[in-house]
Amino acid sequence: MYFAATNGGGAPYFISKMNMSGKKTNTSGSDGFQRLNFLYQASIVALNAVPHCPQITSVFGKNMISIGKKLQLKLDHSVKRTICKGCKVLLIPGKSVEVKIKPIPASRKRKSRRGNQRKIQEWKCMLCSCVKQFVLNPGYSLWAEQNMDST
Amino acid sequence: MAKKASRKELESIFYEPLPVDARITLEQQSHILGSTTKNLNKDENFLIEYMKPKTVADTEDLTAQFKKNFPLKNNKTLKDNKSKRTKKKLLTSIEKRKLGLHKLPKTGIKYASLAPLHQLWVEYMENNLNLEISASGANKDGLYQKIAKADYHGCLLMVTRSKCPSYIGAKGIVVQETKNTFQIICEEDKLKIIPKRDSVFTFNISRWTFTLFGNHMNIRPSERASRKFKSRPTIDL
Repeated sequence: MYFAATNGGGAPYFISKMNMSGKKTNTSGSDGFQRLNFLYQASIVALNAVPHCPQITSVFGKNMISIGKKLQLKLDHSVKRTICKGCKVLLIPGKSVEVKIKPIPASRKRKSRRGNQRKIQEWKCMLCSCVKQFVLNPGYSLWAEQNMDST
Repeated sequence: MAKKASRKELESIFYEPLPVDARITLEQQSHILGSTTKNLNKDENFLIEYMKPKTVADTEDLTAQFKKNFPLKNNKTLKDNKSKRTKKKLLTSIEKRKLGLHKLPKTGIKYASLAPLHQLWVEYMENNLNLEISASGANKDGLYQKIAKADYHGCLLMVTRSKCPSYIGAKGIVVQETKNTFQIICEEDKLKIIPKRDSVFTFNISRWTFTLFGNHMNIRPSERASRKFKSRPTIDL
């Protein structure tokens, strides 16, 4: 699920279609996707290079989100989950996030289903203390990830 | 015996009479404080004694002044006055400023540590622009559009011409780009904030040099991605 954070990011890919004659043409919006891709990899590199200043990654995160809004590009789940909602910092468990497993809070429990012992994985940003919660459900996979498997 | 002697020595050091200056100031303070009967009015008494030589008012007026009650004044401490965050995820702008999200620190980021970031940027630009094909072609509009829409975080910029002579020659890796500025880390590990207006920047990719006119780039980086650039007349610096 996580990109190779220790690797520092590989070479950025570029999206292109092949014409019938074999020439490469650009797809619409590929520039924007390249930029998003570059920004994400750059934030990983920056966090490794300057670990005491995570504000640089928040600059990249902010740009990613605003470019996505302007060009109407959607960020993939695996990318979006590693960007803090409050300060837009890159979240790497152990480096910029505290990950804890907690029981599901009482307000979220459904009264009808008893014995629903779900647990929550809580990600708490070290910089701005904004919280992301993921419900741990062993049999559940995202719609996007489902389609990838079946192809 | 030796221990007792050392203890006595220590005690003599602790219980020495104070130096002359300290004794005088203490006497002065006790004079100001005066004889205080109640502990509750200690502060009041001190204030009254302090104000006496400075004002023309009587002691009764002074005491009346101090006993005035300001009903609108909050008795809460500053911490209680702060509004609690109602939304768990979004940050207010005050909180953002406190975390330093808008301003990067002026020292502390080293130029040498940003070398991998610059390398990544060069790879990104080479892939994006496809220079071997596009630079030699006749119609370079596509190339120029891509340059205008590209991201410059991690670019090694140099200011070649500028209205302000102190900016000329500034060279460094871009860390933040805003609507009006480029924020650069130069080789002396300092953060330089260079406004885009009235400056001309250059950068190199392999064997090509590109110039950016700052006057035309006064746009937020995210908005630059969707902007259609039309030819604008420039007034030379």
